[in-house]
Amino acid sequence: MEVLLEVQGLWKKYSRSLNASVRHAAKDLLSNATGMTDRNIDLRDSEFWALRDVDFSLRRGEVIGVLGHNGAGKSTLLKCIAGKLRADKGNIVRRGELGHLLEMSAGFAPSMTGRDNVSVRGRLMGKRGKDLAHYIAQVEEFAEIDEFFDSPVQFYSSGMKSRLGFAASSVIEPDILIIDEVLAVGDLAFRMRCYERINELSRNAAVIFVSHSIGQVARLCERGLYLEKGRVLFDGGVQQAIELYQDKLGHHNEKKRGQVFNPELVALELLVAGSPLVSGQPIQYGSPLSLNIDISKLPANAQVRVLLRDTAQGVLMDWNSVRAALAWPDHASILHVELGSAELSPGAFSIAVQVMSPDGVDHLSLSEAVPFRVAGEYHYAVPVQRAAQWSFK
Amino acid sequence: MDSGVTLALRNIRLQMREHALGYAWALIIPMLYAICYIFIKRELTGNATDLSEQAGWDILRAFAGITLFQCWMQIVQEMANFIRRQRGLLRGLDVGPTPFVLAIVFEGGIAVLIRSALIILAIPLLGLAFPTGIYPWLIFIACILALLLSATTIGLLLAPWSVLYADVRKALSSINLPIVLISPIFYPATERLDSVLYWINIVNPLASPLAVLSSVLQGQSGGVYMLPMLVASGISLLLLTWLLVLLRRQVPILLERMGN
Repeated sequence: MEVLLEVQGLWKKYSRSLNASVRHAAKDLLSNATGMTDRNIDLRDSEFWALRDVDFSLRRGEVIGVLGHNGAGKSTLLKCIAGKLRADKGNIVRRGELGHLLEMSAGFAPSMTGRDNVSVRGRLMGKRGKDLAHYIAQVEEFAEIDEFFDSPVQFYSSGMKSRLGFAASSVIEPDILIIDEVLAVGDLAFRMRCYERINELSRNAAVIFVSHSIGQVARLCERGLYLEKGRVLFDGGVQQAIELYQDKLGHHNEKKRGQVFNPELVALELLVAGSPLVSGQPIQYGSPLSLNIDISKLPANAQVRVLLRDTAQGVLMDWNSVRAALAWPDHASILHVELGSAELSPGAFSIAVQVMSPDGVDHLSLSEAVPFRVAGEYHYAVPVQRAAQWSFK
Repeated sequence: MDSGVTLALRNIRLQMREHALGYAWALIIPMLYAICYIFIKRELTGNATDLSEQAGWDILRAFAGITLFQCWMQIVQEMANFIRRQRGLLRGLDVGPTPFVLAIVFEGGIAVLIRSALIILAIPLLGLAFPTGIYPWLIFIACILALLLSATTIGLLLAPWSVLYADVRKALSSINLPIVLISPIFYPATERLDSVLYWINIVNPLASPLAVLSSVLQGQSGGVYMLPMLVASGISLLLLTWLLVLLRRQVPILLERMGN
């Protein structure tokens, strides 16, 4: 397959300060006007490298997912490839027509109808006559916003605007397609159609895709590029790239103490297959988990909740002692909880214990979280993935 | 070119939709100026009901001057602000900045044509005679084109700086009165070489076309301002070509500066 995109030693810098950025932009404009453009320049005051020596190429039919944490340089890379930003060093070689799903709703005039806006966009894309009519019909059909298509865009909900933007931008057949965090629009049915559309487009194009959603990346891409502080740390199989991303996310998670409340009242130890969790060592899918909770400082009959959280601190599961009708003995220092198997998708998680008063009204304690990572193959974006008994009948 | 026409039509439709009086504003403001000017002139001449021919030409000069000045200023402002206003489309589509520039030129052209028609219509209404022969009308068209060209060039020259510095936008919205005062709108263009105003008008891109226009409508040759107008137009054309080439390289720098 032919190489459609080559990114060679790409460097891009930004400024942290508003005043300095104006000053630098003015200087760049003047040097541009006088023809004294020196792209091989060093950092000026308050500047930092957003991209450092990025190098990769992409062939027709390849879909590459760009992964990295906030500020890693993902969107900057896409904008440079799309020609929306000027790189400071390096080259981008594009072969074929470029299409991008970046800022798709941008440029819609609020007082014009969806149809009129799409018509203008189609004309700007060079479509005329039957071609334009076909384009408008395709967008109308894909966006599924019914009679709102003929209403001014200012009366659309944000979801409708995104639908129209995606439909207007994706009814194209480019050789190189750039997609930035766009699939999180509309309801589930619309998102499924977006995936389908991207899959269709990617069959005959080189696709570069940025998302924070590991599920989307795993679903759409076969190759992964991991960026950290503007540098490519990994370029290879998407599963390894996701693993690296999760690993880094886990490191980040482990550094965070999380929210606590009277943490000295309760201590806990996470056990994996009966042995204490070794810090930094990931556990495998399905490993049995249990918890030893030091309850010596707690009042008798306190309600104990074990909380499983993801990296965004969202509670994924909750084991509550109230459901077990637990009878506290007179003298006990450790409460042992069997949590079942770790039927979790690969990623970073944490477990914490929340203690309530016996009547469940007052918060007594929220312990420090115990972070852990699950390793294995990524299949879908749902964090809790229960095993089941499957059989044919 | 097609993209430019599309954008111009879009902008005109937006203006018509967003304003109850639509394009009638192109007539209302200059008419208002003309009425005020006639009223003040009559008051100052002791309520004379019958104006002399020269007074009629004075009114026409003021009407044409203020009408074209307003249109010229609008083109400068539109052009100076187009990167900021159209950043959504510049980011979202791969059309480059040229169609946006063309759209403003087309719109400006339409606005100038409407105003030219108004000026021609005002000649018989003020009881004045149309200039005879083809030469004055060719010069008339040249003056209109010179104004369109200078407005486009000045606007485009300011466009990148208007993104970086709000002062440019502030200055453009505040500079109307000084420009009206130093241009031959409410008084005839001076041809005295020892006058500072003469030299100001020579370098004022608005002054020479207005002076020539006023002169040819009265059946004269265009006077000393013809050469400065032609030289300024030539320089404008060269500058415009250079600015359009530069703009493609400047827009990414400016989009980056404007952030998300």
